[in-house]
Amino acid sequence: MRGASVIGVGMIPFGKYPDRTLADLGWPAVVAALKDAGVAPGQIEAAYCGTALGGMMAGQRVLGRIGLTGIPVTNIENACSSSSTALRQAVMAVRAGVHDMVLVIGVEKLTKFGGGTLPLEEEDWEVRHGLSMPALYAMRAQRYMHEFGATAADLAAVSVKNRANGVHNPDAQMRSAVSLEEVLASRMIAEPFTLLQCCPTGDGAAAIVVCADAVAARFRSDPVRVIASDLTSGRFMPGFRDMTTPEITVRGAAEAYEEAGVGPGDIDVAEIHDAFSIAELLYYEAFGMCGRGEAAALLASGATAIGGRVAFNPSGGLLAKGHPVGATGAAQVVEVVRQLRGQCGARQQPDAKVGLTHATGGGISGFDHGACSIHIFAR
Amino acid sequence: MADSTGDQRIEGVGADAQGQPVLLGAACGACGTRIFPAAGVCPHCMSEAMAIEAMPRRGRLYSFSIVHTGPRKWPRPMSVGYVDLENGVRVFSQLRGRPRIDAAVELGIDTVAQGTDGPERGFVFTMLEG
Ligand SMILES: [Zn+2]
Repeated sequence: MRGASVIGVGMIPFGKYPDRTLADLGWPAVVAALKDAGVAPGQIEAAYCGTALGGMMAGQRVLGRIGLTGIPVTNIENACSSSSTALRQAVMAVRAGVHDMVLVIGVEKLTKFGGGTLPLEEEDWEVRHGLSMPALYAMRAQRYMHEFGATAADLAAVSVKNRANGVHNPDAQMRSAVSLEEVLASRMIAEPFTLLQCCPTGDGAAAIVVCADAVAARFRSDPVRVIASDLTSGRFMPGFRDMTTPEITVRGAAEAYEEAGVGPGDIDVAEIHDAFSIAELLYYEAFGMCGRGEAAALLASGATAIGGRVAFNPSGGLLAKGHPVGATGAAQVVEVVRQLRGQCGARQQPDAKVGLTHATGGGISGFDHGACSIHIFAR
Repeated sequence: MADSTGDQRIEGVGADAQGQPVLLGAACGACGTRIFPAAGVCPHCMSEAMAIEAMPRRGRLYSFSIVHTGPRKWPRPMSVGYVDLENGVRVFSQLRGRPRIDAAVELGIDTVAQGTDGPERGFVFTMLEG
């Protein structure tokens, strides 16, 4: 099978852009990725655009701005995994030999909803009965604290780490550090989460140029190989499910590690889906970085800080960088590619060779999560 | 005999022989899977031999949160949780009483939201003592 590599990445700083259209959020990210790759627009053979709430024809709206039209454009909705799912479609097309050079876009404008929690599907039974994303993650947290004795401070420490990372990321929405005391004293959202343990709402866009391994060296001396490209869906369970073990991520991680031929000990840098503080702790365990119930101790040891054994969310993660839902997966890839190239300055994980991205989401009844897409990259 | 569900029909809720509210789920005639709310097809085996079945009125609280945000129609704060019923079915619900993980809970009816047409009634689970 042919391999696929990333030769270009670009994004706009995540933030609030109420006066910009989705198209005008998206095209600067695309232009940045094409310039980064040294690829002319005419060399792009197909585009895959992920957005969760951006509406119809998001890819055409973005690409129409810059004349990159008349090629196959596929628009993809998969909640928080929308643009990572788009990347997987791109990788499959390249691996299959259908295309040599393709573009991935992730774009979202959440300010159009005027703030507040993410609007969920009103047809869903639990959503109609009051379920929201903060409530769902909060129930995970409460059960985890009950089973493993984790404390409010253990959760808050995730925000402290990721906000500290975000200080050094010019693309992050939140660029100030916060103390443990500030996190714990911020407004209560859904117990045990205070405001600073919830990712901010906002807008953003990111883009990736993917090409066949064989042509990558023509464009860049430092292509980043895609060594795993995994997508799975949640298992519907009408009864008991263990909310402290995200089954969708556990399965996805096993599939991705097998495809890449690597294990948890090989990962140097990981951008994972820290929508709320508890999530990063659950995902340490789901990705095999530590045993069950050991996540808080792993965080406290410094192993997941920049410079530690495996830097988790050096970009600041969703908690600091922001979470414009459909753009998140592509933006995670932007960070990991820059980390593997050694371009990250004060937030650089030293000598990063293997990196991982993980975007999962979709709050619907009966599922841990609806979708999960994991990619592993190597230089 | 008073129907404790009141005049307003509540989706997914019926009454048992004693007039107590019950959740109406479904059971699969082919594989025995139970589900709430009721559905016309089994999520385990795809059989359409689904029969409406009253769910047990009691269960245990698996987890909970007290939520201070969200759409305006819901009470703030709002206590919510997942209840594992005695037959294994899991139900998302508002809670009454101080929530405790693994506590025994029982189904009831209460005002659950303020809709555009006034208060909305719905099912809740209440902590039982001990
Ligand atoms: Zn069945």
